[in-house]
Amino acid sequence: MRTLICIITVFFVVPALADTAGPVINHDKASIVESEPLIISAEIVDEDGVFDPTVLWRVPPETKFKRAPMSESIDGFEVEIDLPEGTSEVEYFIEAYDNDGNGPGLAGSAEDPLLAKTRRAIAVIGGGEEIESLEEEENDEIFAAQDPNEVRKKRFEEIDDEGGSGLWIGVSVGVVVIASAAVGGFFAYRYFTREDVPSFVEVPISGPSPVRGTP
Amino acid sequence: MKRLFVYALATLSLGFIALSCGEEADPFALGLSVAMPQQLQCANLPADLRAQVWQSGTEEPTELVVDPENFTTSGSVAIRSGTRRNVVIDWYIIREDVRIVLAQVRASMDLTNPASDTIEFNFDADDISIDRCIDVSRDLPREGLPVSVNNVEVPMCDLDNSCEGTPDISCSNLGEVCAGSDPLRL
Repeated sequence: MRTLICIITVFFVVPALADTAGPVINHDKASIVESEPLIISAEIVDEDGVFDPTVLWRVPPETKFKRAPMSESIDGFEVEIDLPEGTSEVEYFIEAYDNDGNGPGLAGSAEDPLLAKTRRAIAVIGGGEEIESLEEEENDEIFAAQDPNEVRKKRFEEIDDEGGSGLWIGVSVGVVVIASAAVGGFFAYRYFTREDVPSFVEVPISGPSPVRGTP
Repeated sequence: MKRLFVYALATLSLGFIALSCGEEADPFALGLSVAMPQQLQCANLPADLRAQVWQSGTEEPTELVVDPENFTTSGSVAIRSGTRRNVVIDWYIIREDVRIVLAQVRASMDLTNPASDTIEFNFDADDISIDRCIDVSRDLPREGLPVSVNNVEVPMCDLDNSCEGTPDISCSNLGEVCAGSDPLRL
């Protein structure tokens, strides 16, 4: 029983205490302004720190995403992407890990990317004052996916991964396999090397009585 | 900070493992009794002298055979292995429905991983205690605890408490029986 407690403690309790969630990404959908770089910004937070925040983007009908690393800005993280002339739509999503390698946290995904459209500028002349109004765009706040397993699955299926999450998955699987083998080996060793200990021991008793007769 | 917390918990867990996986202390280890002595020369040998062996972990004793001619005690007991067991042999007589313990042998046997299914337990006169006995009728060990006779607590091997303050063993239950006096009364 004690051995079982040891194993449960080592292999299940301690890892369960670790933070495994990726960063949370709060993002307002970006818009394309003609003749200007596409600016994509997001607030990305994780208590262990944010690692490798990246925008993956493509111009339809392209199928492969290009990577654009984000830099820290006043409001969080930001990247400027130079688009080909005449681009009216860009599909993209944001991913980020934390400094412990957990993640990725996502805004959008390869399977369901966000769509940045051209924001049409309409010049309105009135009262001698030029006012620029903008066509209202969708402005949904997007929260990152929190299920790391789902995220990893999508990552494997959909994007040209550069090995980041694959490495972590490989390491995790390796650790589980090695741990399982160690536990199995331990019990197998115990089973095959156990000694046949008798459950009862017969104890013959012999000695003097506490009294003897007088001579 | 969180990583430090996890490391701290891991360290605590390792400590817990070290403790839980370590060898258990045995609070029941008695060792052989080395109290005073003996095989008393007895002018009035009790004809009904009997012996029982008790083992820790069970509540029922096993009868032994007392040979009144050769002044020996023998028998056999089956003891469950897997741990250390305390074994106590009582010699006793019954008077007025009172079980009067006259002498004891106490030993501790390590049966954690016995190499054989038979282990002999041979004792000699030096292992017998006449003046210091323990009550093992409920469990082991209860060394030093007196027994109660007529709601008066008295030493188990000196039920009339006549030996109080003296090292003399002739005042013990066995000494009084051999002298032909009543061990229940002063």
